[in-house]
Amino acid sequence: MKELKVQVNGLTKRVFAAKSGEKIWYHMDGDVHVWAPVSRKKKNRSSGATGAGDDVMAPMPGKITKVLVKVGDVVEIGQVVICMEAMKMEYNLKANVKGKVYKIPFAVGEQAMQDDLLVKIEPVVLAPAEEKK
Amino acid sequence: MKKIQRLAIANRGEVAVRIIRAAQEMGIETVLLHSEADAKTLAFREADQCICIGAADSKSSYLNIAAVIEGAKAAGADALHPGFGFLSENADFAEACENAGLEFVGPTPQSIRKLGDKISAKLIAKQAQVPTIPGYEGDDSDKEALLKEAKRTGFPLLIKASGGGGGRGLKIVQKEEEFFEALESAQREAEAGFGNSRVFLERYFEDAKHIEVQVFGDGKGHVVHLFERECSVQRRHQKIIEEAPSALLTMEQRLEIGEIAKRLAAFVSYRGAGTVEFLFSGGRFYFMEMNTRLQVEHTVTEMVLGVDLVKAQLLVAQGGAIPWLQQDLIPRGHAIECRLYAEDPYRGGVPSTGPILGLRFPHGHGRRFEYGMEEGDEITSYYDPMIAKLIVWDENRPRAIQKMLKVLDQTVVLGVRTNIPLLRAILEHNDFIEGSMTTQFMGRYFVDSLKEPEVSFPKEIASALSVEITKADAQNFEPNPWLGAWS
Repeated sequence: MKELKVQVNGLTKRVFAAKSGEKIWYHMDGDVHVWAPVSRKKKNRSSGATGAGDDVMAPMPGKITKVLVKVGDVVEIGQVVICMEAMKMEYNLKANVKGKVYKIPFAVGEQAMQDDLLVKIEPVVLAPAEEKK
Repeated sequence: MKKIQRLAIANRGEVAVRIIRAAQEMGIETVLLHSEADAKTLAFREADQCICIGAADSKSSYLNIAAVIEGAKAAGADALHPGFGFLSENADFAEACENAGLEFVGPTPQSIRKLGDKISAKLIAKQAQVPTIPGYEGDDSDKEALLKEAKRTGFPLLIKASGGGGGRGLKIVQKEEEFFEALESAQREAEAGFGNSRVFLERYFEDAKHIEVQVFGDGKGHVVHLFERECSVQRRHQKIIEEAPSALLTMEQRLEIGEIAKRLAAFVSYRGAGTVEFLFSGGRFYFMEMNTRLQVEHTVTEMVLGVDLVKAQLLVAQGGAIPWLQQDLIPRGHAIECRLYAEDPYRGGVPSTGPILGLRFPHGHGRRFEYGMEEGDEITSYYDPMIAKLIVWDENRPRAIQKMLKVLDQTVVLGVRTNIPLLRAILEHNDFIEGSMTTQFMGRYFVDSLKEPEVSFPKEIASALSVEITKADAQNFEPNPWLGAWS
């Protein structure tokens, strides 16, 4: 960690900064910010038809405690599909889309890493007539 | 009196450091019993001797009774301090220590068994004329039978794991229809966490303060109380901010609750440090549970009374007397503790793991920092994500709040996200400033993630660090990948 005195808009700021890979973490005026260069492409986390976020991913490393759906089930937005335990707490993970469960790579008791795919959901494509309603 | 020569510490993080330092000051050698994941921590560096007792997973190390005892014996320890969490309230463990010739720094296994089990604790409280919360604490685990008892207790109610603590296996049920789902989840968490799925029911007070009393006994029937702490600021039943004294109790109420807590501890001839937790609602106190160990928030009591609870624990474990007289314990000023967690306040409080790239605490008068990690160490997903406890003392509550706000501004943690913005928002909230907050406070005002402030990356910092940035770069901050994924 480096300590810097920098002039920002005419004011002298005391800044603490550290680099991690391409990211820069810095503390200024009581807040911490993380900066990353634009050129770094964000990891594509989902291949779902409606774009990012269709699948349920592990937000942190943890153990799968309950799988509440099975392949082929149709899930609703907000439905709890899988539970995991991390850092002494149980977390209920919900579906972000309405769709059909396509894949569940983990079983109860298994350890998932951050960003692991937990439940793959194929979004239900609504019929045009249905969509209008 | 038998002086402890070598003390084993069966814990990790900041509490391990706290115990190591107290013991070393008393001329006691320290042995840290640690997991494979904890070699790169402050406690490892500070201890006189370190013994690895198992893999990172707590079950293989910090919760493994045989491994802990074996490690302590191998190191030639004659006493063991369990800290808090892990095995600290496990009667079988305390007994195993005794059988292995290790002085357990804590109450007797019998006390832990009687008071650690919430159901039997409640029965003892009733016998000791301590007011308790209405509920069901029978043996039945059948869901229909429990539903019947739930209806009798009344909604909203709490389902608690009989061996639980720190928010585990604890569910609030607002109405009858939610009962079975919550019960199943509570029983599952209880089974997974404590190997015992037994639960009990308790009426839930919507607007109550969490008030707890620090007690200390010599195991021979002599007990003192060290006044109260208030821990109403809780989220998912885990405390975030604690203070001493409570903001709103009158002196009569404080003395009353102190005496009630003392009565319970004296009733079982309690030995060492313990905490009696109460709900305070409508001007009345209701016994919740007793924690038969040192508490995370013991620091605020130490600050207002000028005592060292860990040293007192070691003295009493050696067979010594309680080092204070009741009449000498007079609180002065006000102390606040904030638990600094590695979590993302802008993304629903998701734990944040990774190496700590920068860590700096703004030391000063009345500022105390308890931590177990240093710059370069790593926050892993194996354990509780607490980075440090920030503690301040000042002459009165408004000044203590003022001081804490400054400390939060000046505390630097880089590499993992922290709850500092949330802590600041809490301290600036009107209910907190007034001191009127209840255990509903977090659920009422801080359910949603905080909004991340929009800032552009100052090119001055970039140039000071010799980093090339483009105009587009200057606007690009970390994306919020988990927004919306949490409820």
